Amino acid sequence: MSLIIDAKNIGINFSASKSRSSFKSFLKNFLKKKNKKRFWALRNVTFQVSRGEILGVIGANGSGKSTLLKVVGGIFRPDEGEIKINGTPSALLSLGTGFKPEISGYENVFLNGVMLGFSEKEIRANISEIIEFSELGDFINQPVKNYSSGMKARLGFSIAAHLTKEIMLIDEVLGVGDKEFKLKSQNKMRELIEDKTRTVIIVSHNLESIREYATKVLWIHKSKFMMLDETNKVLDAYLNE
Amino acid sequence: MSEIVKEIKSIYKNRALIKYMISAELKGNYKGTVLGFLWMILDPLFMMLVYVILVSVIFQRGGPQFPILLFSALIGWRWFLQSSTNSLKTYISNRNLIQSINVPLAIFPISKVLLSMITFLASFIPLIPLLLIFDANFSIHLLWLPLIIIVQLIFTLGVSLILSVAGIFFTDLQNIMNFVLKLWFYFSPALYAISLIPEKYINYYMVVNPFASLFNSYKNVLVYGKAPNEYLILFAIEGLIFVFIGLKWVIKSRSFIVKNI
Repeated sequence: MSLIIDAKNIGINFSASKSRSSFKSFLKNFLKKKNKKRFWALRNVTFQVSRGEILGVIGANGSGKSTLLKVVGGIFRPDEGEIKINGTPSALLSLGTGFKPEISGYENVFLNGVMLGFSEKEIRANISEIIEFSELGDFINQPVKNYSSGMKARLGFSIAAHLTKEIMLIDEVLGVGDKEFKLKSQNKMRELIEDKTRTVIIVSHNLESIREYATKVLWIHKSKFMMLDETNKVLDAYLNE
Repeated sequence: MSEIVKEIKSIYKNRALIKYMISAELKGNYKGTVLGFLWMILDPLFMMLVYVILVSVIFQRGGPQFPILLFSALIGWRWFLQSSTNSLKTYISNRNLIQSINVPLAIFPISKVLLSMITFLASFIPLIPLLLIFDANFSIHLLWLPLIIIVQLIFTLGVSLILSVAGIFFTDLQNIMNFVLKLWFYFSPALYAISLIPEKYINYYMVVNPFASLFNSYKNVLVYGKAPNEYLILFAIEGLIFVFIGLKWVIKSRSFIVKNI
Protein backbone atom coordinates (compact mmCIF):
# COMPACT_ATOMS: atom_id res chain seq x y z
CA MET A 1 0.00 0.00 0.00
CA SER A 2 1.42 3.34 -0.91
CA LEU A 3 1.51 6.06 1.67
CA ILE A 4 -0.55 9.08 0.66
CA ILE A 5 -0.58 11.22 3.78
CA ASP A 6 2.20 11.19 6.35
CA ALA A 7 1.73 13.62 9.23
CA LYS A 8 4.34 13.75 11.98
CA ASN A 9 3.75 15.66 15.22
CA ILE A 10 1.88 18.42 13.49
CA GLY A 11 0.94 21.48 15.46
CA ILE A 12 -1.00 24.62 14.56
CA ASN A 13 -1.13 27.63 16.82
CA PHE A 14 -3.15 30.80 16.84
CA SER A 15 -2.45 34.06 18.52
CA ALA A 16 -4.71 34.49 21.53
CA SER A 17 -5.00 38.26 21.30
CA LYS A 18 -6.82 40.09 18.57
CA SER A 19 -4.11 40.24 15.96
CA ARG A 20 -5.46 42.57 13.34
CA SER A 21 -5.02 45.91 14.91
CA SER A 22 -5.43 49.61 14.51
CA PHE A 23 -2.36 51.83 14.57
CA LYS A 24 -3.21 52.77 18.13
CA SER A 25 -3.12 49.26 19.52
CA PHE A 26 -0.15 48.42 17.34
CA LEU A 27 1.82 51.25 18.89
CA LYS A 28 0.68 50.28 22.36
CA ASN A 29 1.75 46.67 21.90
CA PHE A 30 4.98 47.73 20.28
CA LEU A 31 5.93 50.01 23.13
CA LYS A 32 5.00 47.52 25.81
CA LYS A 33 6.73 44.69 23.98
CA LYS A 34 3.86 42.53 25.11
CA ASN A 35 4.73 38.87 24.78
CA LYS A 36 2.21 37.34 22.48
CA LYS A 37 0.24 34.49 23.96
CA ARG A 38 -0.51 31.68 21.58
CA PHE A 39 -2.77 28.70 21.91
CA TRP A 40 -2.50 25.42 20.11
CA ALA A 41 -5.44 24.35 18.00
CA LEU A 42 -3.62 21.13 17.28
CA ARG A 43 -0.48 19.64 18.72
CA ASN A 44 1.58 16.48 18.43
CA VAL A 45 -0.82 14.77 16.09
CA THR A 46 0.66 11.93 14.07
CA PHE A 47 -1.10 9.78 11.53
CA GLN A 48 -0.68 8.12 8.18
CA VAL A 49 -3.16 7.29 5.47
CA SER A 50 -2.50 4.94 2.58
CA ARG A 51 -4.19 4.77 -0.79
CA GLY A 52 -7.76 3.50 -0.61
CA GLU A 53 -8.01 3.98 3.14
CA ILE A 54 -10.79 5.97 4.71
CA LEU A 55 -9.71 7.80 7.83
CA GLY A 56 -12.44 8.96 10.19
CA VAL A 57 -11.62 11.81 12.54
CA ILE A 58 -13.63 12.18 15.72
CA GLY A 59 -13.52 14.36 18.79
CA ALA A 60 -15.64 16.83 20.72
CA ASN A 61 -16.45 20.29 19.43
CA GLY A 62 -13.38 22.47 19.20
CA SER A 63 -10.97 19.57 19.45
CA GLY A 64 -9.20 20.57 16.24
CA LYS A 65 -10.85 18.29 13.69
CA SER A 66 -11.53 20.96 11.10
CA THR A 67 -8.10 22.47 11.67
CA LEU A 68 -6.65 19.06 10.88
CA LEU A 69 -8.55 18.93 7.59
CA LYS A 70 -7.24 22.38 6.71
CA VAL A 71 -3.68 21.23 7.32
CA VAL A 72 -4.15 18.30 4.96
CA GLY A 73 -5.83 20.61 2.45
CA GLY A 74 -2.78 22.88 2.47
CA ILE A 75 -4.66 25.87 3.84
CA PHE A 76 -2.72 25.91 7.11
CA ARG A 77 0.96 25.11 7.04
CA PRO A 78 2.05 23.29 10.22
CA ASP A 79 3.77 25.51 12.78
CA GLU A 80 5.35 22.38 14.21
CA GLY A 81 6.10 18.98 12.77
CA GLU A 82 5.64 18.15 9.15
CA ILE A 83 3.15 16.73 6.73
CA LYS A 84 3.89 15.00 3.45
CA ILE A 85 1.14 14.57 0.93
CA ASN A 86 1.49 12.43 -2.11
CA GLY A 87 -1.19 13.70 -4.44
CA THR A 88 -3.64 16.56 -4.66
CA PRO A 89 -6.31 16.97 -2.03
CA SER A 90 -9.62 18.38 -3.17
CA ALA A 91 -10.54 21.69 -1.65
CA LEU A 92 -12.89 22.11 1.26
CA LEU A 93 -15.51 24.26 -0.38
CA SER A 94 -18.56 24.04 1.77
CA LEU A 95 -21.50 23.87 -0.59
CA GLY A 96 -22.02 27.12 -2.40
CA THR A 97 -18.85 28.85 -1.18
CA GLY A 98 -17.51 31.02 -3.93
CA PHE A 99 -20.78 31.30 -5.82
CA LYS A 100 -21.27 34.74 -7.33
CA PRO A 101 -24.96 35.64 -7.11
CA GLU A 102 -25.10 37.84 -10.21
CA ILE A 103 -23.84 35.31 -12.73
CA SER A 104 -25.65 32.21 -13.95
CA GLY A 105 -25.45 28.76 -12.44
CA TYR A 106 -23.65 27.60 -15.57
CA GLU A 107 -20.97 30.27 -15.20
CA ASN A 108 -20.71 29.49 -11.50
CA VAL A 109 -19.92 25.85 -12.31
CA PHE A 110 -16.84 27.05 -14.15
CA LEU A 111 -15.92 29.57 -11.47
CA ASN A 112 -16.29 26.93 -8.74
CA GLY A 113 -14.48 24.34 -10.83
CA VAL A 114 -11.37 26.47 -11.32
CA MET A 115 -11.47 27.31 -7.60
CA LEU A 116 -11.35 23.58 -6.91
CA GLY A 117 -8.26 23.40 -9.09
CA PHE A 118 -9.68 21.96 -12.29
CA SER A 119 -8.94 23.12 -15.79
CA GLU A 120 -11.63 24.50 -18.06
CA LYS A 121 -11.26 21.39 -20.19
CA GLU A 122 -11.92 19.08 -17.25
CA ILE A 123 -14.94 21.12 -16.24
CA ARG A 124 -16.31 21.11 -19.77
CA ALA A 125 -15.99 17.32 -19.81
CA ASN A 126 -18.16 17.07 -16.71
CA ILE A 127 -20.56 19.97 -17.17
CA SER A 128 -23.51 18.03 -18.58
CA GLU A 129 -23.33 15.46 -15.80
CA ILE A 130 -23.10 18.20 -13.19
CA ILE A 131 -26.16 19.98 -14.56
CA GLU A 132 -28.11 16.77 -14.92
CA PHE A 133 -27.34 15.59 -11.40
CA SER A 134 -28.33 18.95 -9.93
CA GLU A 135 -31.80 18.64 -11.54
CA LEU A 136 -31.79 22.38 -12.17
CA GLY A 137 -32.95 22.11 -15.78
CA ASP A 138 -33.30 25.49 -17.47
CA PHE A 139 -32.64 27.24 -14.19
CA ILE A 140 -28.94 26.63 -14.82
CA ASN A 141 -28.93 29.72 -17.05
CA GLN A 142 -30.51 31.94 -14.39
CA PRO A 143 -28.41 34.08 -12.05
CA VAL A 144 -27.72 32.20 -8.83
CA LYS A 145 -29.35 34.97 -6.79
CA ASN A 146 -32.70 33.68 -8.08
CA TYR A 147 -32.04 30.22 -6.68
CA SER A 148 -33.63 28.84 -3.55
CA SER A 149 -31.19 27.66 -0.90
CA GLY A 150 -32.07 24.08 -1.86
CA MET A 151 -31.18 24.73 -5.49
CA LYS A 152 -27.90 26.32 -4.50
CA ALA A 153 -27.05 23.36 -2.29
CA ARG A 154 -27.92 20.93 -5.08
CA LEU A 155 -25.66 22.70 -7.55
CA GLY A 156 -22.87 23.01 -4.98
CA PHE A 157 -23.09 19.33 -4.14
CA SER A 158 -23.19 18.32 -7.78
CA ILE A 159 -20.04 20.30 -8.55
CA ALA A 160 -18.20 18.89 -5.53
CA ALA A 161 -19.28 15.35 -6.33
CA HIS A 162 -18.26 15.42 -9.98
CA LEU A 163 -15.01 17.32 -9.65
CA THR A 164 -12.94 15.33 -7.19
CA LYS A 165 -9.26 14.69 -6.79
CA GLU A 166 -7.50 11.57 -5.58
CA ILE A 167 -7.58 12.73 -1.97
CA MET A 168 -11.01 13.65 -0.67
CA LEU A 169 -11.50 15.72 2.46
CA ILE A 170 -15.01 15.63 3.85
CA ASP A 171 -16.33 17.76 6.68
CA GLU A 172 -19.51 15.90 7.71
CA VAL A 173 -21.13 13.47 5.31
CA LEU A 174 -24.41 15.16 4.61
CA GLY A 175 -27.15 14.70 2.12
CA VAL A 176 -28.59 17.93 0.79
CA GLY A 177 -31.92 19.11 -0.56
CA ASP A 178 -35.32 17.52 -0.25
CA LYS A 179 -35.94 13.91 0.78
CA GLU A 180 -35.42 12.48 -2.67
CA PHE A 181 -32.30 14.44 -3.50
CA LYS A 182 -30.90 13.73 -0.05
CA LEU A 183 -31.03 10.02 -0.77
CA LYS A 184 -29.52 10.48 -4.20
CA SER A 185 -26.69 12.65 -2.86
CA GLN A 186 -25.99 10.24 -0.02
CA ASN A 187 -25.68 7.42 -2.51
CA LYS A 188 -23.36 9.47 -4.68
CA MET A 189 -21.26 10.25 -1.64
CA ARG A 190 -21.04 6.57 -0.73
CA GLU A 191 -19.96 5.75 -4.24
CA LEU A 192 -17.19 8.35 -4.08
CA ILE A 193 -15.97 7.38 -0.64
CA GLU A 194 -15.90 3.67 -1.34
CA ASP A 195 -14.00 4.05 -4.60
CA LYS A 196 -10.74 2.24 -3.85
CA THR A 197 -8.56 4.54 -5.91
CA ARG A 198 -9.39 7.40 -3.56
CA THR A 199 -7.96 8.29 -0.21
CA VAL A 200 -10.52 9.83 2.07
CA ILE A 201 -10.55 11.72 5.35
CA ILE A 202 -13.95 12.19 6.96
CA VAL A 203 -14.48 14.51 9.89
CA SER A 204 -17.78 13.93 11.58
CA HIS A 205 -19.82 14.15 14.74
CA ASN A 206 -22.02 11.42 13.43
CA LEU A 207 -20.47 8.20 14.74
CA GLU A 208 -22.86 6.15 12.63
CA SER A 209 -21.41 7.44 9.39
CA ILE A 210 -17.88 7.04 10.75
CA ARG A 211 -18.66 3.41 11.65
CA GLU A 212 -20.16 2.87 8.23
CA TYR A 213 -17.33 4.25 6.14
CA ALA A 214 -14.06 4.56 8.02
CA THR A 215 -11.41 1.87 7.77
CA LYS A 216 -9.57 3.46 10.68
CA VAL A 217 -10.25 6.28 13.07
CA LEU A 218 -8.21 9.09 14.59
CA TRP A 219 -9.50 10.48 17.87
CA ILE A 220 -8.35 13.90 18.95
CA HIS A 221 -9.34 15.59 22.15
CA LYS A 222 -8.65 19.20 23.11
CA SER A 223 -6.15 19.58 20.26
CA LYS A 224 -4.23 16.47 21.30
CA PHE A 225 -3.78 13.06 19.86
CA MET A 226 -5.75 10.39 21.74
CA MET A 227 -5.85 7.26 19.66
CA LEU A 228 -5.43 5.92 16.14
CA ASP A 229 -6.59 2.41 15.42
CA GLU A 230 -9.18 0.38 13.57
CA THR A 231 -12.66 1.84 13.59
CA ASN A 232 -14.45 -0.27 16.17
CA LYS A 233 -11.65 -0.14 18.73
CA VAL A 234 -11.46 3.64 18.66
CA LEU A 235 -15.21 4.13 18.68
CA ASP A 236 -15.60 1.79 21.65
CA ALA A 237 -12.91 3.62 23.59
CA TYR A 238 -14.45 6.96 22.63
CA LEU A 239 -17.91 5.88 23.77
CA ASN A 240 -16.59 4.52 27.09
CA GLU A 241 -14.86 7.78 27.82
CA MET B 1 14.42 34.41 -4.37
CA SER B 2 13.41 30.82 -5.05
CA GLU B 3 10.23 31.24 -3.04
CA ILE B 4 9.28 34.18 -5.26
CA VAL B 5 9.84 32.10 -8.38
CA LYS B 6 7.73 29.36 -6.83
CA GLU B 7 4.97 31.85 -6.00
CA ILE B 8 4.98 33.28 -9.52
CA LYS B 9 4.74 29.77 -10.97
CA SER B 10 1.87 29.01 -8.65
CA ILE B 11 0.11 32.25 -9.64
CA TYR B 12 0.56 31.31 -13.28
CA LYS B 13 -0.94 27.89 -12.58
CA ASN B 14 -4.00 29.64 -11.20
CA ARG B 15 -4.48 31.91 -14.19
CA ALA B 16 -7.83 30.32 -15.07
CA LEU B 17 -9.08 31.20 -11.59
CA ILE B 18 -7.89 34.79 -12.00
CA LYS B 19 -9.68 34.99 -15.34
CA TYR B 20 -12.94 33.66 -13.94
CA MET B 21 -12.80 35.87 -10.85
CA ILE B 22 -12.35 38.92 -13.04
CA SER B 23 -15.10 38.04 -15.48
CA ALA B 24 -17.49 37.18 -12.64
CA GLU B 25 -16.80 40.52 -10.99
CA LEU B 26 -17.11 42.45 -14.25
CA LYS B 27 -20.46 40.88 -14.99
CA GLY B 28 -21.58 41.32 -11.40
CA ASN B 29 -20.60 44.98 -11.25
CA TYR B 30 -22.65 46.08 -14.19
CA LYS B 31 -25.52 43.62 -14.27
CA GLY B 32 -28.74 45.21 -13.16
CA THR B 33 -27.81 48.70 -14.31
CA VAL B 34 -29.70 49.89 -17.37
CA LEU B 35 -26.62 51.02 -19.26
CA GLY B 36 -24.50 48.02 -18.19
CA PHE B 37 -20.96 48.03 -19.50
CA LEU B 38 -21.47 51.54 -20.89
CA TRP B 39 -20.78 52.78 -17.35
CA MET B 40 -17.20 51.66 -17.72
CA ILE B 41 -16.86 54.44 -20.29
CA LEU B 42 -19.24 56.95 -18.74
CA ASP B 43 -17.71 56.93 -15.24
CA PRO B 44 -14.36 58.49 -16.20
CA LEU B 45 -16.08 60.84 -18.66
CA PHE B 46 -18.31 62.22 -15.93
CA MET B 47 -15.35 62.59 -13.62
CA MET B 48 -13.50 64.51 -16.32
CA LEU B 49 -16.55 66.68 -16.90
CA VAL B 50 -16.60 67.72 -13.25
CA TYR B 51 -12.96 68.88 -13.44
CA VAL B 52 -13.50 70.56 -16.81
CA ILE B 53 -16.39 72.56 -15.36
CA LEU B 54 -14.24 73.46 -12.37
CA VAL B 55 -11.03 74.36 -14.19
CA SER B 56 -12.05 75.47 -17.70
CA VAL B 57 -15.43 77.01 -16.98
CA ILE B 58 -15.19 78.40 -13.46
CA PHE B 59 -11.48 79.25 -13.22
CA GLN B 60 -11.00 79.86 -16.96
CA ARG B 61 -7.71 77.93 -16.91
CA GLY B 62 -6.16 74.94 -18.55
CA GLY B 63 -6.12 75.98 -22.20
CA PRO B 64 -8.03 74.56 -25.16
CA GLN B 65 -6.65 71.03 -24.85
CA PHE B 66 -7.36 70.74 -21.13
CA PRO B 67 -10.05 68.01 -21.46
CA ILE B 68 -7.75 65.56 -23.26
CA LEU B 69 -4.70 66.45 -21.19
CA LEU B 70 -6.68 65.75 -18.07
CA PHE B 71 -8.37 62.65 -19.42
CA SER B 72 -5.07 61.02 -20.49
CA ALA B 73 -3.80 61.33 -16.92
CA LEU B 74 -7.10 60.73 -15.15
CA ILE B 75 -7.76 57.29 -16.59
CA GLY B 76 -4.35 56.08 -15.45
CA TRP B 77 -4.98 57.54 -12.01
CA ARG B 78 -8.36 55.81 -11.72
CA TRP B 79 -6.70 52.49 -12.54
CA PHE B 80 -4.22 53.02 -9.71
CA LEU B 81 -6.85 54.37 -7.31
CA GLN B 82 -9.27 51.50 -7.80
CA SER B 83 -6.56 48.85 -7.60
CA SER B 84 -4.97 50.16 -4.44
CA THR B 85 -8.20 50.82 -2.52
CA ASN B 86 -9.74 47.48 -3.53
CA SER B 87 -6.57 45.62 -2.56
CA LEU B 88 -6.78 46.91 1.00
CA LYS B 89 -9.73 44.68 1.82
CA THR B 90 -9.36 41.96 -0.77
CA TYR B 91 -8.38 39.19 1.68
CA ILE B 92 -11.14 40.04 4.09
CA SER B 93 -13.81 40.04 1.41
CA ASN B 94 -12.56 36.65 0.19
CA ARG B 95 -12.28 35.18 3.68
CA ASN B 96 -14.40 32.06 3.04
CA LEU B 97 -12.55 31.26 -0.11
CA ILE B 98 -9.10 31.76 1.39
CA GLN B 99 -9.96 29.46 4.27
CA SER B 100 -11.24 26.79 1.90
CA ILE B 101 -8.86 26.60 -1.02
CA ASN B 102 -5.10 26.40 -1.24
CA VAL B 103 -4.12 29.15 -3.66
CA PRO B 104 -1.38 31.78 -3.64
CA LEU B 105 -2.89 34.79 -1.90
CA ALA B 106 -1.36 37.18 -4.42
CA ILE B 107 -4.00 36.21 -6.96
CA PHE B 108 -6.55 38.34 -5.09
CA PRO B 109 -4.78 41.72 -5.39
CA ILE B 110 -3.60 40.71 -8.86
CA SER B 111 -7.17 40.19 -10.05
CA LYS B 112 -8.14 43.57 -8.58
CA VAL B 113 -5.35 45.25 -10.55
CA LEU B 114 -6.28 43.46 -13.78
CA LEU B 115 -9.97 44.20 -13.29
CA SER B 116 -9.27 47.93 -13.04
CA MET B 117 -6.89 47.64 -15.96
CA ILE B 118 -9.77 46.46 -18.13
CA THR B 119 -11.75 49.56 -17.12
CA PHE B 120 -8.67 51.63 -17.93
CA LEU B 121 -8.33 50.09 -21.38
CA ALA B 122 -12.04 50.61 -22.01
CA SER B 123 -11.49 54.34 -21.42
CA PHE B 124 -9.57 54.46 -24.70
CA ILE B 125 -12.89 54.06 -26.50
CA PRO B 126 -13.96 57.63 -25.60
CA LEU B 127 -10.37 58.89 -25.47
CA ILE B 128 -9.64 58.31 -29.15
CA PRO B 129 -12.51 60.45 -30.53
CA LEU B 130 -11.74 63.07 -27.87
CA LEU B 131 -8.13 63.24 -29.05
CA LEU B 132 -9.35 63.85 -32.59
CA ILE B 133 -11.86 66.49 -31.55
CA PHE B 134 -9.36 68.43 -29.45
CA ASP B 135 -6.72 68.25 -32.11
CA ALA B 136 -4.07 66.07 -30.46
CA ASN B 137 -0.71 65.85 -32.17
CA PHE B 138 -0.32 62.21 -33.20
CA SER B 139 3.19 61.04 -33.96
CA ILE B 140 5.41 57.98 -34.02
CA HIS B 141 5.86 58.42 -30.26
CA LEU B 142 2.42 56.90 -29.82
CA LEU B 143 4.24 53.57 -30.09
CA TRP B 144 5.58 54.18 -26.57
CA LEU B 145 2.07 53.79 -25.16
CA PRO B 146 2.13 50.01 -24.52
CA LEU B 147 5.42 50.39 -22.67
CA ILE B 148 4.04 53.16 -20.45
CA ILE B 149 1.03 50.98 -19.68
CA ILE B 150 3.28 48.06 -18.72
CA VAL B 151 5.31 50.31 -16.43
CA GLN B 152 2.12 51.47 -14.73
CA LEU B 153 0.93 47.87 -14.46
CA ILE B 154 4.11 46.89 -12.63
CA PHE B 155 3.97 49.83 -10.25
CA THR B 156 0.24 49.40 -9.56
CA LEU B 157 0.77 45.70 -8.93
CA GLY B 158 3.60 46.38 -6.49
CA VAL B 159 1.68 48.95 -4.46
CA SER B 160 -1.47 46.80 -4.45
CA LEU B 161 0.41 43.73 -3.23
CA ILE B 162 1.95 45.73 -0.40
CA LEU B 163 -1.34 47.36 0.56
CA SER B 164 -3.20 44.03 0.53
CA VAL B 165 -1.00 42.79 3.38
CA ALA B 166 -0.74 46.14 5.16
CA GLY B 167 -4.55 46.33 5.20
CA ILE B 168 -4.63 43.13 7.24
CA PHE B 169 -2.18 44.36 9.84
CA PHE B 170 -3.70 47.82 10.25
CA THR B 171 -7.44 48.07 10.05
CA ASP B 172 -7.50 51.84 9.90
CA LEU B 173 -5.19 52.02 6.91
CA GLN B 174 -8.28 52.41 4.74
CA ASN B 175 -9.16 55.79 6.29
CA ILE B 176 -5.59 56.99 6.02
CA MET B 177 -5.28 55.84 2.41
CA ASN B 178 -8.46 57.67 1.37
CA PHE B 179 -6.80 60.87 2.49
CA VAL B 180 -3.31 60.07 1.18
CA LEU B 181 -4.58 59.12 -2.26
CA LYS B 182 -6.57 62.35 -2.62
CA LEU B 183 -3.55 64.38 -1.65
CA TRP B 184 -1.32 62.37 -3.98
CA PHE B 185 -3.62 63.10 -6.91
CA TYR B 186 -3.48 66.86 -6.38
CA PHE B 187 0.27 66.63 -5.85
CA SER B 188 0.59 65.00 -9.29
CA PRO B 189 0.43 66.86 -12.60
CA ALA B 190 -3.00 65.74 -13.82
CA LEU B 191 -4.98 68.96 -13.38
CA TYR B 192 -1.96 71.09 -14.22
CA ALA B 193 1.13 70.89 -16.38
CA ILE B 194 4.53 69.91 -15.11
CA SER B 195 5.83 73.35 -16.16
CA LEU B 196 3.96 74.80 -13.18
CA ILE B 197 6.61 73.38 -10.86
CA PRO B 198 9.47 75.87 -10.24
CA GLU B 199 12.58 74.97 -12.17
CA LYS B 200 14.81 74.48 -9.14
CA TYR B 201 12.48 71.91 -7.55
CA ILE B 202 11.62 69.96 -10.66
CA ASN B 203 14.22 67.23 -10.16
CA TYR B 204 13.18 66.57 -6.58
CA TYR B 205 9.57 66.61 -7.64
CA MET B 206 10.09 64.04 -10.40
CA VAL B 207 12.03 61.74 -8.09
CA VAL B 208 9.68 61.99 -5.14
CA ASN B 209 6.46 61.57 -7.06
CA PRO B 210 6.44 58.67 -9.52
CA PHE B 211 3.10 59.83 -10.91
CA ALA B 212 4.71 63.00 -12.19
CA SER B 213 6.63 61.08 -14.82
CA LEU B 214 3.70 58.77 -15.54
CA PHE B 215 1.13 61.53 -16.11
CA ASN B 216 3.63 63.57 -18.08
CA SER B 217 4.41 60.55 -20.25
CA TYR B 218 0.74 59.87 -21.01
CA LYS B 219 0.22 63.52 -21.93
CA ASN B 220 3.38 63.65 -24.05
CA VAL B 221 2.61 60.54 -26.01
CA LEU B 222 -1.15 60.96 -26.43
CA VAL B 223 -1.60 64.72 -26.79
CA TYR B 224 1.72 66.38 -27.67
CA GLY B 225 3.20 63.68 -29.88
CA LYS B 226 6.41 63.73 -27.81
CA ALA B 227 8.53 61.02 -26.21
CA PRO B 228 7.72 59.86 -22.67
CA ASN B 229 9.30 61.54 -19.68
CA GLU B 230 12.79 60.14 -19.00
CA TYR B 231 12.05 59.73 -15.28
CA LEU B 232 9.69 56.92 -16.26
CA ILE B 233 12.68 54.57 -15.99
CA LEU B 234 12.95 55.41 -12.30
CA PHE B 235 9.24 54.73 -11.95
CA ALA B 236 9.64 51.32 -13.59
CA ILE B 237 12.52 50.41 -11.25
CA GLU B 238 10.51 51.50 -8.22
CA GLY B 239 7.62 49.39 -9.48
CA LEU B 240 9.79 46.30 -9.79
CA ILE B 241 11.15 46.81 -6.28
CA PHE B 242 7.61 47.16 -4.93
CA VAL B 243 6.48 43.98 -6.71
CA PHE B 244 9.44 42.16 -5.17
CA ILE B 245 8.74 43.49 -1.66
CA GLY B 246 5.01 42.91 -2.07
CA LEU B 247 5.35 39.30 -3.17
CA LYS B 248 7.85 38.60 -0.43
CA TRP B 249 5.53 40.09 2.18
CA VAL B 250 2.49 38.19 0.90
CA ILE B 251 4.42 34.91 1.05
CA LYS B 252 5.80 35.65 4.51
CA SER B 253 2.44 36.69 5.93
CA ARG B 254 0.41 33.90 4.42
CA SER B 255 -0.02 32.00 7.64
CA PHE B 256 -0.92 35.14 9.57
CA ILE B 257 -3.45 36.23 6.96
CA VAL B 258 -5.17 32.86 6.66
CA LYS B 259 -5.50 32.59 10.44
CA ASN B 260 -6.51 36.15 11.19
CA ILE B 261 -8.93 37.28 8.52
